[in-house]
Amino acid sequence: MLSQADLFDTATPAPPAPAAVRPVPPPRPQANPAAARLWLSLHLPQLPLEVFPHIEPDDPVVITEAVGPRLLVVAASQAASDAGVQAGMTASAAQALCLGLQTLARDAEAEARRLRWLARWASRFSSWVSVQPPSSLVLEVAGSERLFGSACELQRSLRAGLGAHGHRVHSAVAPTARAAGWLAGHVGRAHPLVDTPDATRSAVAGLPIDALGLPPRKAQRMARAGLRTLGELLRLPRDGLARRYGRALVEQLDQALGQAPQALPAFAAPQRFAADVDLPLPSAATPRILAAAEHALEQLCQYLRAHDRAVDRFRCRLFHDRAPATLCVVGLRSADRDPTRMARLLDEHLNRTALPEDVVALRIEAPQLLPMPAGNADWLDRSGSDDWLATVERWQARLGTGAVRRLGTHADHRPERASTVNGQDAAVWPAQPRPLYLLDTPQPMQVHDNRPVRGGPLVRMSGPERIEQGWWDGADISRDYYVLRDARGARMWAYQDRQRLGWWLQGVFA
Amino acid sequence: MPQARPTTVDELLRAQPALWRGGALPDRAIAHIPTGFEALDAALPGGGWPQAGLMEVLHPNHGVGELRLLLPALARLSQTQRVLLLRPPLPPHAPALAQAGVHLDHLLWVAPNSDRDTAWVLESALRSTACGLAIAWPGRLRPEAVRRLQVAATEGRSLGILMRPDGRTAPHVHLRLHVHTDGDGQCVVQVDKARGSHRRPCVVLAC
Repeated sequence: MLSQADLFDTATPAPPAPAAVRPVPPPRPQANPAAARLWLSLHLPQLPLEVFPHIEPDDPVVITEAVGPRLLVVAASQAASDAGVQAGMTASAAQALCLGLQTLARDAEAEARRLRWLARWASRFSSWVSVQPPSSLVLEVAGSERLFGSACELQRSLRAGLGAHGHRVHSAVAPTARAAGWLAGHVGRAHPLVDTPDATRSAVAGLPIDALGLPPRKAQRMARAGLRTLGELLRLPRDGLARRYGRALVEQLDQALGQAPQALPAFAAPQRFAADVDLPLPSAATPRILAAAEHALEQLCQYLRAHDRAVDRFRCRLFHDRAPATLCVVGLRSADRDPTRMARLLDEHLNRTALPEDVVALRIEAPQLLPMPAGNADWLDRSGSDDWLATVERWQARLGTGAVRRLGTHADHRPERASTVNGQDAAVWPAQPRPLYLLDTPQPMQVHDNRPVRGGPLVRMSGPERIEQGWWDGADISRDYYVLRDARGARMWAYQDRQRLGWWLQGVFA
Repeated sequence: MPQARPTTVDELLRAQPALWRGGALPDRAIAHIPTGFEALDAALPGGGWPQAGLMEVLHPNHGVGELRLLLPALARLSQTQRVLLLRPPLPPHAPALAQAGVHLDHLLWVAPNSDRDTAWVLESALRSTACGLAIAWPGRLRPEAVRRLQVAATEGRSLGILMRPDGRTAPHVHLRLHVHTDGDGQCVVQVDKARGSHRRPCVVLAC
């Protein structure tokens, strides 16, 4: 009986084993003979099936995908394979072959997610991981070889690791990423390892045309021309090959043989983090919740340190038994990865948050990971006081960001525009006396005998100071300012408006 | 050789180091901040505002000079430390502060909504060693809250000034001033309480 893998791989004419290669012409001079790199490709043939968690090996299941008008099988479970179902046949043919066959639509999104997750997992074996959709990973292993003993040893540990995660793996090691990918996809069951240009050429030459992943029409044209293996392609004149089947084909072959560079997208660790913690006992007491949260924050900060990242805000989701989860969003004044500081801010938030019932579990999420700032270039920290920064952050956490303000001057003679909040400081100010308090909007004053009054007559202490400004931006003023004193000794700053004719109180000399 | 015997009661008392004499100004070595007004420095124990502690400024209404009185100290401390205006009754005007020499980058204006939050911010500011001076309009403060503030200010080596336009007072303060104006509009500062001195001087400031 054929195994599932046999079915999967022999959907195309059986490839010869990489060792038994046909004679190939002597290799052309290498453009880059010093191929110091070694690539390990991991191919997951059953990934479409493996992303569905509840499939038993003896369930007859196929994963189908709509290709044009037809529904094609992309992966079949062991039981379905045993019944003769193969990838590439139509769903109705598969139904006819296997009684009680269950068909599931392909979940491409879950596959991509799984592949990214595996790429993250594989990052521990190599600093350079690339995701090759739909179902492969490529790792640069020349650098890791020494760490893990040998490429063979590394290959074995990776296979074991992926096996433990429930994945069937085909792998190959080759001096070029493309050759490794082709070999893993077609002869990966044998886990070939080639490490010299000659061996690569032999191994690639043995691969079937299908390894190129050409569109069906082009593949058929090649088949009609009698081309079945890459070795036959390699023997053809390059310019003729390019003319007939496109320059891209020649380029791919060159890349596989290490004669042309190949650009691979490097996998970047996801810019998100989430950690779940269960509370030992359901509780609504802040210290207990905080103790659990500190654990998760510690994990977050460890993760951040490992990836040299920081966060400027994180979320704490508190789960209850029945009520919907409570969400706390905690913002930091600057990007950081200090768990103590985060815990302190979370404490502040928790103290203000009304909980509908006891908390059973919580999750710390960092939706966005930022690069760790080299130094705190924050306006709050010019005198280098982290203690102050943390204090101000707690105020902002409890009172809201708008409640903590920085004052600055603005080069404008209009008093209402001369002071800014949280803006740039122009570091210029008028020479004439200015009140310490300025009302948001001037208050109209009562006038008696052409003079302003406020709970009694006012004594003029100085003035007038004329301010005429702003005709250019439509907010022009023309005012005469006076310093006045009332009967209780309060010094005020009032003006007579020359446009609107009247008196307004605008400031207080406190 | 026998020591010269004290001849007067005064000399007798002075010879007793353990005896604290009311009226004697304490040692100037205790850190104090110059107020910026010579007459006031001379009247206050230590020659200025206490550098760590709590003081109250009572003023009958706004605009009598209650802030002008504190501006020189605010300007001086803002050069090296953080200073805070906490819930002022009206929006502060940056040019006036800049004119007085206040380093605006080191000044924060915090505007909590409640008396409780104000007390909390003030306490954390005073506890922070980075903060040199916090001027606050705290509204209603419970006596134990004032006590906490006082401890925080002492521990954090910072000065907390409680502005009291409503006439409320608290017992645990180092210094209590009463600010009003005389008929000519001059600012009059009456020292109601000064720890370390039983004198109650009254100073007229030209500001």
